[in-house]
Amino acid sequence: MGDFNITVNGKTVPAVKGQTVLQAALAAGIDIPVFCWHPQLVPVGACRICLVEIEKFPKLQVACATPAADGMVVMTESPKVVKARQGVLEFILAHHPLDCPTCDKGGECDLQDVTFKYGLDYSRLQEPKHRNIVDENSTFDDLQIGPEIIRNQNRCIHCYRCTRIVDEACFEDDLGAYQRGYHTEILPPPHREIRNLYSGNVVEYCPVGALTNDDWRYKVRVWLTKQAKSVCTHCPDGCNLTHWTFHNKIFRATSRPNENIDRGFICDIGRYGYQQVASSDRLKQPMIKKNGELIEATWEEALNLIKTQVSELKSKLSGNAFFGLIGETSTNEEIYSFQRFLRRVIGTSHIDSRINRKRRLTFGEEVTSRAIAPDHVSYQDIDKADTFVVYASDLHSENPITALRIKRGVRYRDAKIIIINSRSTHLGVRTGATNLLHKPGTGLAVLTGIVDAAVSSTTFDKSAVGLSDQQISEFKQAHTELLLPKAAAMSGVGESDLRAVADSLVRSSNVVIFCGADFSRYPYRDEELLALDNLRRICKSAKLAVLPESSNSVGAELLGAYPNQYPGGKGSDAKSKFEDLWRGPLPDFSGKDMIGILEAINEDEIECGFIFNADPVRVFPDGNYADAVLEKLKLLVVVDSFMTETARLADVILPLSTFAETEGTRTNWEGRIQYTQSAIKPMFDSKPGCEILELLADRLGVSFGQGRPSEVYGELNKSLGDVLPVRYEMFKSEGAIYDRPKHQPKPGFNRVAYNAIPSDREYPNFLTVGNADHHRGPNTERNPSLLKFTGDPFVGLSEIDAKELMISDGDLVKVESRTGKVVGNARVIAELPGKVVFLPENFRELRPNLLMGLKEKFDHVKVTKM
Amino acid sequence: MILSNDTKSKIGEYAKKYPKVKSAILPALHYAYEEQGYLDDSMYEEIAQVLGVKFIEVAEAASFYTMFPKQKRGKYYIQVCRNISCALLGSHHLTQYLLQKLGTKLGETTKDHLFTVVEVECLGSCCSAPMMQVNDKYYENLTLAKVDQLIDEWRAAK
Ligand code: SF4
Ligand code: SF4
Ligand code: FES
Repeated sequence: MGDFNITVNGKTVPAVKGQTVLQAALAAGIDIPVFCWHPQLVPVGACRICLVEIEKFPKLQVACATPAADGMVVMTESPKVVKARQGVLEFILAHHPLDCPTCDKGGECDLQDVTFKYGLDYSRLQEPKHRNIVDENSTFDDLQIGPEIIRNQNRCIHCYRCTRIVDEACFEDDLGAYQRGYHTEILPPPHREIRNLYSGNVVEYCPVGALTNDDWRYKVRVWLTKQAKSVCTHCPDGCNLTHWTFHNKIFRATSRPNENIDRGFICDIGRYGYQQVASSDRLKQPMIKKNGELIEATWEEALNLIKTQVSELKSKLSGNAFFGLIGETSTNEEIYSFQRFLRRVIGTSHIDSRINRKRRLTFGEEVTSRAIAPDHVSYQDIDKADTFVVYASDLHSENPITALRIKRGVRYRDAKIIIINSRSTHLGVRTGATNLLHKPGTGLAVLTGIVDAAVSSTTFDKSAVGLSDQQISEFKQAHTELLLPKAAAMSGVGESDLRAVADSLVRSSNVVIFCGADFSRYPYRDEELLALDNLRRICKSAKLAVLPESSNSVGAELLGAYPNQYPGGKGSDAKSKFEDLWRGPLPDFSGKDMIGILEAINEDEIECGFIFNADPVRVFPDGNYADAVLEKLKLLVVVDSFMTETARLADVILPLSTFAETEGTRTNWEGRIQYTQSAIKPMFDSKPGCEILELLADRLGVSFGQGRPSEVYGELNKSLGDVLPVRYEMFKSEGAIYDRPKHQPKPGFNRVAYNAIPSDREYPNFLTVGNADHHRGPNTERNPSLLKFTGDPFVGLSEIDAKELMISDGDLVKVESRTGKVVGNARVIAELPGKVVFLPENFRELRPNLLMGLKEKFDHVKVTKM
Repeated sequence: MILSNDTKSKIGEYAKKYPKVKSAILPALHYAYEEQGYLDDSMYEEIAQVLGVKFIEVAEAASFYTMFPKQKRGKYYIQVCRNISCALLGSHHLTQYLLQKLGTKLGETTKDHLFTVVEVECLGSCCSAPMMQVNDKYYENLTLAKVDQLIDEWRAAK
């Protein structure tokens, strides 16, 4: 319901205070043409195509920038309006080349559509069209302005959507409008390219074909394509995508605006990340290892082999000699089917999805043992917050759209960002963020220092946040080593900076704290969680969000991909319930986790396993160990879409369809379950996960009759109605959030123990892992468009270390640890603190996990010039 | 470092007058132009630093205005109005005459670095057309003879 009504074309339309005429009309289903307006940008009224007639206004008004007012009478298609639009178009077309037949935007061009509707079939303007010539010898005026983006200035209608997206929404500075009038040029600054992580959006939202990208250009006409609803699988943000397909091939991905999540802007990783579907190392058909070599086989052969081998092993060994690992980008239905297959068919509880963790604790355990937990945070909370704390996260590259949402807060609500990290990250650039850059491993001191600064301040209103004098003095007594000024000295952050941050946190009315990948990798994570919880206590209202690793990590946690949890987070008392549901006996409730599994294989307790959509050899934080151990197995079945390092060790490989060929749901970081349509039919001889798992179960004698995701979800829905009350069909319109259990915090502060990173003379540097530009995690390397942004594999060194070791950019260097070594070219990174070596995760040639030791808490390395 | 510290501090001072620093970009460009006689990327960079705005914001603004030349130009910057009143009274011939007399092309600078001739939009002096602006001064009701005389004076003065 609106605050008041306006009349549009004789129809009464509700409007909300602050809405423009355009917004009110659109909400009521009345269409007004626009070029420059975009729902996520401040209106500028640049193009004039949205002119409407409003009673009592002497002149026509732009609907996009005119606020709706009570009683307004608006006409959007009156003769006067139509004539004005004709005039606007005549001017826009005066210099437009009208080269629709060779324009990539043809068929989905706003200018084409609006001209089709309103345009005249003649022009009174006789002047020659202005042409922006890029190359005197060519009639194509195309200019490559970034790794992916091509500009044709002639087609530009000067709506400035592109430059506003870059500047206003993304806080980037790599695109601008130079000159004026018809000389206006859209260009990156001199000697630079447009290459920010969100750059693809300018192509999507350019209303004409002035900006196009290599990805889609000249490959297919848009009207020939079909569209499929998809959800990005590259990070847990869960952006909604549309896949555009033709003849069972995907040609591009665009955003599918979801108000709750992405609001129409996606990052380039999501935009170009579909390309891996057609990668040349896709597994095309089943393979069987014979005499040490993998050779192609039929499904029949592969399944039969698995059947004979598993039955044989099972007759000798118990279910405890088996294990299963599943990747966290799998769908909820795959994860559920997988754990059911292992528990019920194979008879083992050795299941895990956290294959890249060295640490054993899970949040579930932390929650029960410490009575603290992350809050249930959603994008809506971001919109309400006035302060964000980003702790140990490169949020910009780990959760690009979450970062964008935060930036919205900065842009339109003057929200503040406080970044606490040991390396500087892109989120801090131009957002006015406060950067607390600390020495590696001292985050705990920073957090505790801030809390101390807050509670020691004379103006601190403890009763407002429910703290007592006693609790405060207990806090001080418990942390004598971490209070100010020691905290400042230890972390290298200025004492006044800690005080300033404390002050601004105390004064904020709504804080959201994010922690990310660097936090998850940190060995003393649970202590940090306690310290973050303390930070929460000094704020009037604060929520803590721990961002998960992958697009469906939350689903994995929820649906029993862990050894000590049944689906729905149920404990051992649910055993009989699941035995009834799955009509058969289940093994002991508790099983081994990732590390336990590898150790058990090493000790020959486990001899056979199933690895589904996961590459532990590539990502387990001791690559050499994982490699050697998995090699020992009597039978390893790998179900995957690509020829991974792990697949090479398999005895049987079953080709898995990718996210684009598989229907299913995934759960993003908020806990929002979203549905993905299959865009294309399974490629090659691959099959979707649920079908493969049903085939395997059936072959091994237990049929569930649930080869389709909807069937699997049906069971889930029935058995876990308390956790997943939503029916499968409902996801198809909009994702739904599942409610995490709420936790009652215990009063007062937690006691935090600080563990310094031990110094290591022999290996003096500290290894940090992260993302290279346009990559996220280890799985983005099969996308050619993304590789264009990245450059060659590199070893990141700080300026200080580079100088000390006399290494300059491009020098070949060796990075060694106690367990392994890698060789690569050095890249000196100004933002890195001394003693830190940075390795991106995405390069196969430079796998950081080769330097990690299972037994080492911290990853110490040494760099030498070669 | 191209801009003098003096200019930079003037820019910094001026910026304080505005609630949004972005508004100070134009005055800053004027100061820089006054000092250097032209503008280029490195000056934009310095201005951006002084004001704490993005490089691209300065560059965009500078490129928008024709009154900021982007190259060094002659000592006498001759701007002939080409809009309707002046055009009707022969400004086009005037420009051609100037170019021929000085042996140069539109927008280019004579070899002796004395003259640069450009055409500009209306300078608001239609009542005394044809007219031109040379550096900061208006010369109105022009005739070819008047132009000859002016050029001779300037050449003599150097
Ligand atoms: S390039 Fe496209 S988006 Fe940018 S101003 Fe021109 S028409 Fe608008
Ligand atoms: S932010 Fe994450 S979910 Fe969204 S498009 Fe990028 S990688 Fe995909
Ligand atoms: S959409 Fe309203 S002026 Fe462009």
